[in-house]
Amino acid sequence: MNSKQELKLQQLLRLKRHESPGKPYFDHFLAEFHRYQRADLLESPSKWQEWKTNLTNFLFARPVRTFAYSSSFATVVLLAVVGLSPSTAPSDKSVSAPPSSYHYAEATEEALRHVEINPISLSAFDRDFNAPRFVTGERTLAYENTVAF
Amino acid sequence: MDPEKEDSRESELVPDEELVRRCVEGEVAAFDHLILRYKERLYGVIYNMTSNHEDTNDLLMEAFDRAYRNLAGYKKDALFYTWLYRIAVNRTLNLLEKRKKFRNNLSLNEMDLDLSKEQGLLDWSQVTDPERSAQLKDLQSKLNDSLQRLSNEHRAVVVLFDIEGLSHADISKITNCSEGTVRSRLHYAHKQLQKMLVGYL
Repeated sequence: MNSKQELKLQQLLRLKRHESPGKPYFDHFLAEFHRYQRADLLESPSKWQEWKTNLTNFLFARPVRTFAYSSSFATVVLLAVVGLSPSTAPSDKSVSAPPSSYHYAEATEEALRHVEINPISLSAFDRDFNAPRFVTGERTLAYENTVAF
Repeated sequence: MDPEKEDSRESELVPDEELVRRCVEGEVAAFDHLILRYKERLYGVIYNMTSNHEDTNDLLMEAFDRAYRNLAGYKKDALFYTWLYRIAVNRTLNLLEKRKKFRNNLSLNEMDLDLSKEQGLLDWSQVTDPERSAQLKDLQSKLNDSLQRLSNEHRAVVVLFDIEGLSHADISKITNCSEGTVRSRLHYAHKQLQKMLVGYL
């Protein structure tokens, strides 16, 4: 590169130092800067910041609501745990327990315990062949009143 | 307290680092002295990179604001003015990168028109001869046009070295690259400018 041209170029570029907006601009710059800083403080927040603030207020600025959320969550968890736990033997008085043969046998035994049973005479001589025969109390066992041999 | 009305001699004697320390300790007016000290030089750096007064004003405000907010993070291993210049240059480069696409869509005529709006910034107070004045305006326009044709990084180096008169070492700190890179960019930019300004050299 030609050193003379280089020097001339530097002189030309140095002319740009004289480009200036003028004294009034710099005289008011400090006041403008303070105004800029104050305006920046009052600047409305972005949509995202606004949304985040609203959400935070909604969740944490109301203690009762917060408690309601946590207690609801705890209830749901508790119900889920109870519902998923393995089933145990139903109690005797359980109404909703499904019927089983064990229950029928037990109930029958209980009912029969209170029924008075007359002794049955096995002697053929004591038997009135015209009268019906009963097994338990007055319940008819058979209706044939004659014996056909 | 208006620092501009204060005894300027007192504020001029105080080193930058001392003003920074005072500001960090709560004397916010100390930062006003730093603004008064650097506003014109920083304006020159940004304006010569953007060639637009409105952009320069916005970027200058942003740069000082950012410096003020990050003053506590300023490390004394660097000079305050290189730190401040670095903030301003980085913000300017960021803006220019964002606008690169838009600028590329502008025709040269539109760019010239853009630059001609900034003619009012010219402070050729000594110029009285109308013919000479017209020549200088033409030269200024051509100079701005040539600078705008350089890449942002090359323009930054030219502005800091040729217009602001900073050293290679300071420029390497401000632009965060080695001195060798600074010299290389400067050499390439000068060659480009010589080609563009061939009629004026």
